[in-house]
Amino acid sequence: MPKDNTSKEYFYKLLSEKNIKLSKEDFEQSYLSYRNFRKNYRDLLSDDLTDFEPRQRIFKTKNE
Amino acid sequence: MTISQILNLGKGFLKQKMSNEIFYKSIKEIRQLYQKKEATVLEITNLFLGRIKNLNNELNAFLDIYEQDSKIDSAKADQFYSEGKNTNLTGVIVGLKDLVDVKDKITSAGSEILEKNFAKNNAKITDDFQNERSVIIGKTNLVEFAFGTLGINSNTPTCRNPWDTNRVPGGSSSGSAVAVSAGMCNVAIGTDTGGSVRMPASLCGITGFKPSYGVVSRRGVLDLSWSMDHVGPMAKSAEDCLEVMKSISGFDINDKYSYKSDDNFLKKNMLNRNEIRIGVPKNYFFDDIDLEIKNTILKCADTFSNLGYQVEELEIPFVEEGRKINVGVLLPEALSIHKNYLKHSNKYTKTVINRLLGGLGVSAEEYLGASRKMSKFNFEMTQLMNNYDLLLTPTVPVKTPLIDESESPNTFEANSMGRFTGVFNLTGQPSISVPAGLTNDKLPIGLMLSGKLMDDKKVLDIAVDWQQETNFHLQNPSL
Repeated sequence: MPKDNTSKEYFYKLLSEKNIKLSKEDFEQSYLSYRNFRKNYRDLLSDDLTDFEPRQRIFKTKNE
Repeated sequence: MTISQILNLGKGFLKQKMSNEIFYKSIKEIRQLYQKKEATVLEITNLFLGRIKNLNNELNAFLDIYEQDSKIDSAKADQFYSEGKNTNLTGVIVGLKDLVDVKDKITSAGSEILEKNFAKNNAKITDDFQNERSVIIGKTNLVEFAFGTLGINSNTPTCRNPWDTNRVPGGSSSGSAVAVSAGMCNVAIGTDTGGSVRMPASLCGITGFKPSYGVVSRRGVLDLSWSMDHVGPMAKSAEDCLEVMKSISGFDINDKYSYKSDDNFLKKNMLNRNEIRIGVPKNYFFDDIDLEIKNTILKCADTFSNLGYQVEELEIPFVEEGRKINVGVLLPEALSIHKNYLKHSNKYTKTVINRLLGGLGVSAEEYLGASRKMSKFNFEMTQLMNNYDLLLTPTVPVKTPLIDESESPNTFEANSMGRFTGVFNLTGQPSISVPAGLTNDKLPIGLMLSGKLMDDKKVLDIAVDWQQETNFHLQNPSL
């Protein structure tokens, strides 16, 4: 994945790979959602998470 | 109904029929009507069908009305009663969100793409209602593919909030909330991936319960996100939600997401208020929210305290990331589920395709990272909940927006609406929205109570207790 995966050009490339064509207005709205979502991911993945299995909900804790 | 039939009815029933009262009866009250032979299921069904005919043109709660089938269901229920049998939900009028399969009926998900999608089988919960001899009166409106918070879908007739028809009902289970709020059915089923049962329940002034993850089977209910999807009841009261849970909960071997739970919805528990610890988070859930909502919910916390519950303020430092993780896992899963539909991208509503495409390009490493982050969050929440039975928060942070101002997928309200509810989809905790009063503009405010994972019955018991002490849930819109 390139360093700048938040650019409009990169988003356009992702759409092209899936043969998705959008009007200019839809492109701008979708890009806005995409950019917000990328920012979300950047904030989320800064921790070391290797101690955790994915998608776990049930844990045994010491008080149980 | 013939005149002689009307004359044969009890005086009390006739009086109720002339007012709206009959449309807002609790499940127990409806059952009593049938048991005392004050009304037949067919008579009640006809009244609801008439109500739907009167109101649906304006409110658009129902996409499909099963007029003939509901009469057949009614006859079966009446036969059941005449044989001296009945179950918990016999003759109860039910609306199903149009994501739930009913055999040989269309499940459209509010989408043009699925407009001819006939269901081959019943969903598990459809079977549950049919086995109970309930009356499934139709399919309710929704946000396309259940992917939106405000309840707007440009593919379907505009679903409107009965408290102010210029305002959104909330989503994505918009039609289910409107149908219950407007007295067009006794109970409805919604789905909740980021708050889609609780948000519209809050905005429409009804009660909406999201059970713990896996407690209600999702077999035959269209997926949005396999990690976050839940199915739950929507009704006027928590007591009615409990009645529905008695029938639709339980392990389903044919649903790979189903959990075995020790919780027993049939069991009557003693509620000792002074032993129940309720946490009111000082951070996040009261930050950047509408002041009227904030004050109303804080007043509710005081009421709980006055009722004898142990109410304490707390900080939840990690909670800020909850909604982000919810969306971070949900969106790539939704895109994966939609991979075959995306070739029809021009058939999606703008709101949904614009949001959905926001999740393009997520790598496996990123998705795994978000899924591990989800586990870390859930671990922290489990530790926190060792000290509390319940968290008390607002359901939504913003006031109900106008329909005319809600067309873009990126409005402040659309992005803020699920900020609180999504946290509990991530953790899978049971969470209920109950009415907590009205704003100065006479719009409903919702209070959210969220319990320990797999402690669903306690959440419902506390919500029932709250509604025995307050009357917010008895307020109805003027229609």
